[in-house]
Amino acid sequence: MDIDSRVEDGMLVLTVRSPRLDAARAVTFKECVHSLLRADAERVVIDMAEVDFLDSSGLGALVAVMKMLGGGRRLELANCGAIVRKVLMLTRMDGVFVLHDTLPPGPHRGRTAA
Amino acid sequence: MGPAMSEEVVRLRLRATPDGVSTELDRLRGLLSARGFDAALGANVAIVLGEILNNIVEHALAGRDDAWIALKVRRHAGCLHVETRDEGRPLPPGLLTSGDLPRHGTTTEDLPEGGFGWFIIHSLTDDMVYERAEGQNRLSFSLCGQTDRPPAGAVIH
Repeated sequence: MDIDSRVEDGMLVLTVRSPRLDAARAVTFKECVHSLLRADAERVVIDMAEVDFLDSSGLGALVAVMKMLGGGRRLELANCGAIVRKVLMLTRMDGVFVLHDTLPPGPHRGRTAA
Repeated sequence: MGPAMSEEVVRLRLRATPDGVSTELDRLRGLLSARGFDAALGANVAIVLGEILNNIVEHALAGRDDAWIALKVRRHAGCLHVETRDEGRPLPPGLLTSGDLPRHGTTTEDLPEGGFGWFIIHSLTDDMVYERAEGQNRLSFSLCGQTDRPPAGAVIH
């Protein structure tokens, strides 16, 4: 699975280059994200802009990724489309992940605004 | 309203693999959208059907890459009636009755990674029927749009 990875100001941004995060892709997605995670990233944000379909297997994969983060870090999801949001809300997982309408600014830039 | 009008929207057979399910759901959403069905209704059909088809692939037809699932979608008065048939093993009865949300637990480690599927199905539809007959699993459900406006270009019999 194609996932772009970049670090912005201590924040790891993973952009999923697939229109679906579903049973056919859940395992590859987990493996791919696992290989891209970095211990030095304070925050991990997945850019979901291109994902227009999520099923329960895809949701399980997102939970598995959050468990990989460790250290109490919560997985952040940005740019979730209508179906992704719907599945997160139905399963009440919208409160488990940190959701952003757009990509958030990096942690240091974010902090100056507070 | 006149007499009951029912129209076949889709009838197809799909390969019972995760990739087969993925591809056909994409096509189905495109087709429903092209037929003028409301995007939210198309999304709900894809969400529920995705869970059902993947459960069939995983439980009824596990290890059988050559198997097929028959899918039929009919439109009736603003609602879509969806039926699947497969010749796999009977579905585990627990799957069909447990519509509960898996417990979230108190820590990240406790979070469930599965068990969401039937909860999602039961959240979106309340008329799921499962029958086992003639060596087949038959599942059916219906979903209704927010408006009863007939889709553009629909042929009503």
